[in-house]
Amino acid sequence: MAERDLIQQLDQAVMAMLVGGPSVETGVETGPEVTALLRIATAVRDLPETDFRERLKRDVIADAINAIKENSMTATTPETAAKSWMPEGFRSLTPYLLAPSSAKLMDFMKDAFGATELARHRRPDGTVMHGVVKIGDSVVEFGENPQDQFGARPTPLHVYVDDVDATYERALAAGATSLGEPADHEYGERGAGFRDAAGNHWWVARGFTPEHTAGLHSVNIYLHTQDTPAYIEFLKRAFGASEEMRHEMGGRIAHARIWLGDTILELGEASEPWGPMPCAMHFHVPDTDATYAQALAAGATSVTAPMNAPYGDRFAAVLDSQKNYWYIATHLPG
Amino acid sequence: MPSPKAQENDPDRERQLIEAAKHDPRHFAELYDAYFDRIYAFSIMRTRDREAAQDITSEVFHQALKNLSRFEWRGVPFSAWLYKIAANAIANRVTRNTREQTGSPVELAPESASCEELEAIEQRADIWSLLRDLPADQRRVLEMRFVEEKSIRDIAAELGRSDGAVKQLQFRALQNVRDRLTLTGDRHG
Repeated sequence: MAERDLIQQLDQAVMAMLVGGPSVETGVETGPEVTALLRIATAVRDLPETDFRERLKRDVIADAINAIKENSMTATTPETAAKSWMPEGFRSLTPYLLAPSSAKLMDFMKDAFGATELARHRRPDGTVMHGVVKIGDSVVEFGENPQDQFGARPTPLHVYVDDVDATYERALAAGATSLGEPADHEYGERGAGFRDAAGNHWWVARGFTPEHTAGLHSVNIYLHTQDTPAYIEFLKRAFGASEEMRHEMGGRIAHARIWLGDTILELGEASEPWGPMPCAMHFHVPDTDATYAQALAAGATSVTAPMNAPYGDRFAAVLDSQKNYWYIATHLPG
Repeated sequence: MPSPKAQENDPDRERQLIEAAKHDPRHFAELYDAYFDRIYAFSIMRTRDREAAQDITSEVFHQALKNLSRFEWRGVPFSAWLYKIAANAIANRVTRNTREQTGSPVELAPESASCEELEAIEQRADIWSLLRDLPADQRRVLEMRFVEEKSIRDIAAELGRSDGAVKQLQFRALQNVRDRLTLTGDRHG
């Protein structure tokens, strides 16, 4: 039978099936080829609605997060267990912005986000070797060193704020370049974007509902990745990451949320105009040596083997396949 | 990457996932990914109602998360526990609806899934998994036609294509799934 006839015959049988019950028996005379396809069609007919799977997953994980919060007064959970290995106020994953001028970057974060300065360590020449600020509920670290082997590394960040429009205006007034004017997005938030003088991308947003931002904090790292499914597997093997959700569009992962310790790392497949932006992250773990070994076994490249840093951390650094630097650290109390 | 089916068939991996989720409920996401398709398939096949299947699937995973600490791994697949929760939820729903409508007692489907039912569930889970790998236009046509139950004409108008092109995409998509299903079946022997 000609393919055109098969296509027509299949459509008539599909129509009969959609009007009738779930059975393959449609009353329409079909040959073996169309009958086989119709069997597939009956299973496709039962397919869940497009967004139901992800919607329910988000609800269930929000439940899990609430359960952790509710138990926090009485039980030892990952959120509440004594974390002597993590400096106070930090979470597992912290963006580490490497900029040509730390002082300018700090001023920008203060002007645009009302950031609070927590620490500033200067070199003898007055430049800031390491700075720490707080934006909302999140710590952000940054540093500057032209001789540093890590170089300048702009970071893509997703920042939840109370007022997107006002933050956007303040950022432009502080010298940022617009990446996108404030707008309401169908994925559930009002958002805008801008680039600071150091090249960091700040995607500011406010979710329409509390569920939308469940588990996220004020400042979240949002990686633009390549071969994202393989990268997620790497994160699981290297750092014990857990995937909360992935949203696929056109066969690519447009957005995924990955738990690393107590923090969500957001990521999506890089596509023009938002190409890969390899950056640096500070990852606090209970055992730097073990995590370092696990990361190398998963395919990361060693940058710094585990060592006791003068500022009181057990420290190591690795580079992943996407050229992101991971500063692995265990805070050593006392 | 191991498929959810492979995970389910690997008792050690399943046990690890359950222990991880007991320790930190956020790891429940991995169990959810592994079993969502099967639980939804079980629910839709027993209820033949999309809204009811969504409610039941939702109830199953919320209940499973809440009671995970009580689940004891004794070699019984985690899926059997989930099917049991689903069967209970369906029974409660049927009993409630029938009482409201007729006031008479009802005959309930058995708690556990029969071999034929499990086979049909597995088939659906396999097909839905293959659908996710189809070219975007083919997958979209199948979703619009079978899930949203739109006519060929409406789909054509929405996608800016001819009726004939949409029918051809529908045919190609189903052919593609069938061919991949055959390949998977051959590979698994």
